[in-house]
Amino acid sequence: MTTNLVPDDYYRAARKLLPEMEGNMREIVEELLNKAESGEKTDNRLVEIITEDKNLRKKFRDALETGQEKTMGMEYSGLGGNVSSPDAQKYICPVPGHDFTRRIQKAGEDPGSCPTHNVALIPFEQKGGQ
Amino acid sequence: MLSKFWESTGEGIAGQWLQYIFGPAFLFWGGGLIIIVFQLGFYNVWNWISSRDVPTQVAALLIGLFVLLVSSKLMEQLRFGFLRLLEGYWTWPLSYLISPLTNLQKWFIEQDRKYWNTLMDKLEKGNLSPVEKRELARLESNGHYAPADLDDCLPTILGNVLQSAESTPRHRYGLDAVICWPRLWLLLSKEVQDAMNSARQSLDTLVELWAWGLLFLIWAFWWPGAILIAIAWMIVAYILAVQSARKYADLLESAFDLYRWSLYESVRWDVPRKSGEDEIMAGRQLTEFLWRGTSEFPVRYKKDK
Repeated sequence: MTTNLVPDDYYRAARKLLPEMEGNMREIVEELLNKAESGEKTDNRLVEIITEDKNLRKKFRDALETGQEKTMGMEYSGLGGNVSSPDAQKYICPVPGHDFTRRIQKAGEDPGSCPTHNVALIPFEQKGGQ
Repeated sequence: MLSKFWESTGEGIAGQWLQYIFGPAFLFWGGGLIIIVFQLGFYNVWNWISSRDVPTQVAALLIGLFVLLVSSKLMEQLRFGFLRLLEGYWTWPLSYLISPLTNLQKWFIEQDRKYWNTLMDKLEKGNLSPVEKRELARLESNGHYAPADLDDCLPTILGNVLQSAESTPRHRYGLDAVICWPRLWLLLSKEVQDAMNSARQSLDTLVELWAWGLLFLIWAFWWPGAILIAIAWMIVAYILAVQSARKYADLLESAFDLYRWSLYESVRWDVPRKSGEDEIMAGRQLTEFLWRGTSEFPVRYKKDK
């Protein structure tokens, strides 16, 4: 999937190439990058300056493509294995001597009621504390 | 100088056009063309094309490309409506099906939960067979992508996967996902936004694919076999869309799990210090504040550090 380049991509690529630039060009590019940081849009001027140099032009394009690949590589995919079953919150019938229990799979789930006594189940720890 | 540089950018734009041309719309129009060509007779069509002059052939090709691109763009505008349709937000006449199908979904979820409880008891006692272990993993996964509160259930599986993701932050943190999401989105890093966009794009493409499958029924006027192709197409697209929705749900839930603090910090509220009821209360208050602009008591904003 191809994504559109945004000004930040150009700034990132230009910054990456700074060490390879000659003195004068480097100063100009640094100044443009500083302006970009303060909110001014300088990507077009940066492209013009950098692409004047034949060697830098190719490296600039490569740097931009690497940036794009980085974005494309961000696509999420889940792991292939089966999910394990961590501990789950347990609920129990509050009637003394009756130990009907039920767990909930996730927060917000209604633990329901005891089918024998028709009373709402309570957290397991709560009965132990009674 | 610049022209050479723009060549590479041009390649990117060409890639986007290729996506349009060879996207789901291509399958619809290409399939329809094949049906019509074989109905009219392949050689009749071939002879008709061959007897045209080159400008007419080029014009026909360009018109074909234009139809492909315009229909792709049109579908892009309609896909949100199709996503809502697949989720189960139906209007008349489908609204009559909402109640029975939602009850059916609830019944399946309840059965899964009962069986999951039975297997969890066995797991606790340590006598789970390998087959049951795999079954438990399946139920664990199904349960995760089902709404916690059965009253939130929708009539379709896809709807329930997305509903589950949207309702989880409310149950866990008191934050309403639909209200908080636009604010949280603005606080996410570009990388996280890209990952979310990519997952959403994938879901949207599959919804479009399903919609083109539905439209493929039109070709049944020329060839009744198109009905079978359209049904198989829609089933495959739906299954893939559910898988894709699960990925999107994973990321949506994870964004709330990991970045909800930045919501509190950005509106200069105190971050909840305890999980559970305390956090849920704070989340509800923040949701009210973000949606209505009101709060039970005036909130003292934190100072900027």
